[in-house]
Amino acid sequence: MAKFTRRDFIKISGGAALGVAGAGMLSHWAWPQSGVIPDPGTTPDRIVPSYCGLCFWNCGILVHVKDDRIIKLTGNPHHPLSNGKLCPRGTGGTGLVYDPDRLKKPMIRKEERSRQVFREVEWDEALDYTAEKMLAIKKKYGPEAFALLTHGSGGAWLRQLITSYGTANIGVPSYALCKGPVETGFFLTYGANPPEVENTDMRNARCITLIGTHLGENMHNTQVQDFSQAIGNGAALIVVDPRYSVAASKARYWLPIKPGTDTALLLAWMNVIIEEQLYDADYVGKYTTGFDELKKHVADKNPEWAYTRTSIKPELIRETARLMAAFEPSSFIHCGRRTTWYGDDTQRLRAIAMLNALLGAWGRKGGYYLPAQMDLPGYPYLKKSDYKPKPPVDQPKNTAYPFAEAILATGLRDASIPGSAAYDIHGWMVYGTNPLSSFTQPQKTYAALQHLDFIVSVANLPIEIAGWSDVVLPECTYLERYDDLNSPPFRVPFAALRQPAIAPMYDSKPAWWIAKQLSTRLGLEEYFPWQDAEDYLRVRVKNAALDWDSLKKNGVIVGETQPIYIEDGIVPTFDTPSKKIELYSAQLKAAGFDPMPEFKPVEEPPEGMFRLLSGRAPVHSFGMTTNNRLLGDCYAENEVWLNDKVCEELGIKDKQQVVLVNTEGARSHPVKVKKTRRIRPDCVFLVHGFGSRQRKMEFAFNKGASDTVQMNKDTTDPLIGSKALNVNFVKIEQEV
Amino acid sequence: MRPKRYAMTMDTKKCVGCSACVIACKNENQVPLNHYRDWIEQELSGDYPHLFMEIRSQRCNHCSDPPCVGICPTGASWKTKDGIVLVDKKKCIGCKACIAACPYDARYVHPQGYVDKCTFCIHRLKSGLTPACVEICPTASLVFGDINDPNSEISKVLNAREYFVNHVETGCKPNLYFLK
Amino acid sequence: MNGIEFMSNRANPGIDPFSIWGWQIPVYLFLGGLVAGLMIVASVQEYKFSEKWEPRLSRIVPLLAMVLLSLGMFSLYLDLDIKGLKLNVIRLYMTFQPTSPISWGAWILVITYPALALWFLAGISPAGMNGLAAKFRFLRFLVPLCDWANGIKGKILVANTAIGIALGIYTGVFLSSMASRPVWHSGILGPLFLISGISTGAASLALFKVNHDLAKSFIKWDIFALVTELVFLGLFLLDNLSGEAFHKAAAMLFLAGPYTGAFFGIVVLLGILAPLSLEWADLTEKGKAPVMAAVLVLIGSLALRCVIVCAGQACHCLFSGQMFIN
Repeated sequence: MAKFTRRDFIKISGGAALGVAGAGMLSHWAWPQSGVIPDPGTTPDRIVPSYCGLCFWNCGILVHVKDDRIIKLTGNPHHPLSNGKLCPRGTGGTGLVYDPDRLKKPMIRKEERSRQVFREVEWDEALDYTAEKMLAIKKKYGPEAFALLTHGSGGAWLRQLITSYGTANIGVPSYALCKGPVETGFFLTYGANPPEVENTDMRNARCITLIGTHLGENMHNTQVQDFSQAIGNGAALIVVDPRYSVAASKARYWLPIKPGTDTALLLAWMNVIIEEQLYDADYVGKYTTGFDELKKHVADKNPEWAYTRTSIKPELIRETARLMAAFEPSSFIHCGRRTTWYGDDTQRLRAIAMLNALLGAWGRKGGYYLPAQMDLPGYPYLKKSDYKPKPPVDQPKNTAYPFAEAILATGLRDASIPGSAAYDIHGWMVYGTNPLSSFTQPQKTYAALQHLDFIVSVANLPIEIAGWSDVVLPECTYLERYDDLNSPPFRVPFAALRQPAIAPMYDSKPAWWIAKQLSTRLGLEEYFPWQDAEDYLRVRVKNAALDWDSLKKNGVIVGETQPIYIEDGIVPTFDTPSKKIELYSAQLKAAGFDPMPEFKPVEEPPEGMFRLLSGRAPVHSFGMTTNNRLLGDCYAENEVWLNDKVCEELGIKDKQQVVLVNTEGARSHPVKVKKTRRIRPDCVFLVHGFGSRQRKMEFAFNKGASDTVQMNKDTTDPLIGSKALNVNFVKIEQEV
Repeated sequence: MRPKRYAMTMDTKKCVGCSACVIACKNENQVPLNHYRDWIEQELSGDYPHLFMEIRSQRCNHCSDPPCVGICPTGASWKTKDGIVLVDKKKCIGCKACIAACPYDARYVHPQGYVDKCTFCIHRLKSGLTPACVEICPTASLVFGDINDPNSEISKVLNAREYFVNHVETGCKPNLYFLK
Repeated sequence: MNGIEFMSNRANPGIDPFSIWGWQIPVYLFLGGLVAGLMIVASVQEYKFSEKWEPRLSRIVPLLAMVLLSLGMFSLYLDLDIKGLKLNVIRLYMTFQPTSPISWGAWILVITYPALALWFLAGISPAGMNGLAAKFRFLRFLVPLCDWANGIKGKILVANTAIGIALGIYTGVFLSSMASRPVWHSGILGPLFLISGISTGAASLALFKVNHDLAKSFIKWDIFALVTELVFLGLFLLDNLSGEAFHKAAAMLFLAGPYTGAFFGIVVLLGILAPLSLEWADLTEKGKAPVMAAVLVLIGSLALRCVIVCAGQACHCLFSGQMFIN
């Protein structure tokens, strides 16, 4: 039989086809080649350099302003954190400034808490009232009964206020809920911790190992730039994650580990590297202590041992260990950032730190560089308070987290529930954080809110905590204000300025102004000797012998390049008791903890339930950005990731709405299922920060589900008191 | 001198799909909310755990043989000598034939009543700037330039790397090259 | 091996999900086809078989065609996504774009009106026209035109046939010129829509009370058209099936996909086979249901355009994630 081809049919169809073909031939000469060149009219009339405030990485930005309206944001090419590039959140900062839901005037609550009945007032009234309430608490309970919960640059001004007011209860949520384990785990090992801008030398690395770190979805600008550069250079990538993250899609090895068993994998890797003598023997000999103990400790923890725990095949563990060792010292295991997972996290981070030491990565090119920092003296506050506040009350009664390096914000929350701690907290000032979304054990947060005498929140947007506050003070956004200089430890020293690009919109005010205004009303004006933020900044800049005009013009001053590698002649020092890298930690032993990490099995999900994991979407900084309509165009609501086979077993369709119910019966808001092969069958994943229940956040309201709602379990790291986030189990209910 | 032929390469290896290109475009070109001149695609294949995912930043392919221009009944869709496909919004009657004819779904109806699309930020090119998406991209996955100039960065990238284009079957000769 | 898991963050209205064109375009294509059918069937019938022709049809059909065509153009006008009174539509006639089937179509529509008008005038006898002009003085200018039209009646009928064919094919080429949509990108679509238009034209004409012979002719026309349409539909599917993977998948949309029911149930069964059997019965004097047959043909023809327009848009979505190596 003759085989008809498509071409034959076209022939058969005759005239019409000829017509089409004819038209095709005509095309080349017939195309119009003239017309109006479109111009969207977004060429700025001025460009103001500043630094970003959409997350805490603080990249340098250029604010493009036309007719006093911010039209776009780009990366500052002079700024070493941005190199002229920006992540989507920073780019979408316009969506925050022009968010129609922004707080526009100060507000005072009219009725009982938990009902949002506010009246708009003038600043004077709001500040007078706040000061009155703060003074009342100070008088009744002492200043320590007041706490500041703060996150972000503007908090520095309020910190100065609250410190001079007389309390040490100042908590930054990121220690207890995010970075505590990595800071302390590394500090216990190296006597130094990875700074805010982690000191991984990714751009020079030849092998990168990520454990749960989902770079690419976690969009810290410089880090992702380096990550892509490394991929472009052909660096080998090993990704350990129960989810096929974007990073995993770039990896040579993706190890879909059983959640909660990372320490077993790390110990097995150390076993292979030590048994096969792949470690950097010079480095280990020169800088570490406790190698023999470690060798003995991991001797029986071979890949076969780890396989039964992690579900990662022994040969894969061996191959990946050999791969990472093949490239040492330009090979490192990323320290990670949000490391509060299962409750034994500081020990897991110790294991990561130790494995890095075996690879000789700390202080080495392609490993962890030794950061430089600009010598920038603080503001010369002359007046120091004589008042010695009582010790902070962030640790519960009769408990101690001996290695906590920062105040536990969750602990301050707990101390606000009467009788929980050495003394009670009665008042909160909340800045730049929303405890209802960021704190685990939401039941405790609600309990605390019921008992507090007074809450004042300072915010851009009517976030949930604002709805619970007695006074809401509208702060202007980071694009409308000065803030303190940013000069983090980095590969080059620099100092960056945040300055207003436009005047504050509505009746919003910068945090420095709010702090200074409150200081006069609280009788603390002597602690605020400067006129305004510009005055403050000029003093700091002058004292550092930097040029104010140049800083204002360029947004950043970059210092001299300094050596940052041992190869460049730096003699590393380790601020540990032994002054060496402590593979064996005597101080942990002395405090009654394991001197070397042990694998401790975590609780398994009950039958029919899944472990709830959470993480990031690249266009969002948690709940901070979920109301940003511009960013919402790329990711407006989260979905619960569920393994496709599990979906089929349960009869759940892609995009179907479900409700998550945890072991304590806490129900999530309805959320769509993302049916995917990209996750293990034993866990589900949610992007954090969604499911706002705040009606005044009109865009974010009721979009997606909040992972926090499910985080009832109180699993605490015994070393540092941080709260585990990955310990909750949920079932999927299809009846919405 | 040969005319310019503007094109873009998109590195699927380096791109993490963060959407900075999308947001930057929206600001630069005042693209209304819920409308997109560029976007991110993720395509997953394989079986767990042997998965493969490709991430692409997509936009108008500024075809050398653009079906959208050919089909436009009023001459509103046009192509510059340098190969950039544009829409003259005053001439557009909103018939949407170009939208249907585009193999990439790169066009949409602007709420103000005309068809709109990526312009390769032609208004920036005259000042020597790259398109907004290229400028912002934190992973340096996007390279823009003249592929008729053998010394341009894009020509060098295309010489050095393996690449593919989408929808060759339509014969439209696209100029958005995806690096493998 | 699992299929592809595809994610895109684009959400352009009218594209994601597909609905570039709503009901207006199928209606426009349907009415265009119907007008084309009326023109072809009636003018051929009048020209070739004038002995059984009923002259009143020469007046009714062109008028009806003009009304239907205007409705079709209004439908197209409604679809335009421009603001206000959509006066920009005039741009269609400020240019001629030789590569654009729509531009061709716009101009074909423009010449359709005078052709139909002349046909109408040729359907009035010069004497009748004089009588009319005597009654309504403003119609005097039509007298010479009417004389002229009557003089070249044959040429007018040929022109109407030719324009009808062009119009009918255009309704298909409108879609088939788009390589972006595999379902549409088939050379068969022009002839298919032409023949479908002829069937609607014939079926509509069969509704007029005319002499027995002429009525039978119209039914024969329709039977011929429906059988041909059936063949073309088969070719259309085979054309896609013999193509590349995406064309095969396009055919599967009709053979075993979301459009199978509408395609076989409404287009083929209700729209072709059912009227075909009714008309066969009519022709062989076994039964009479001309109204039912005509209604079914019209429904089937409209459904054909709806199904093809929808499937074409959907089929592109299916492939937005596909890639082809250069």
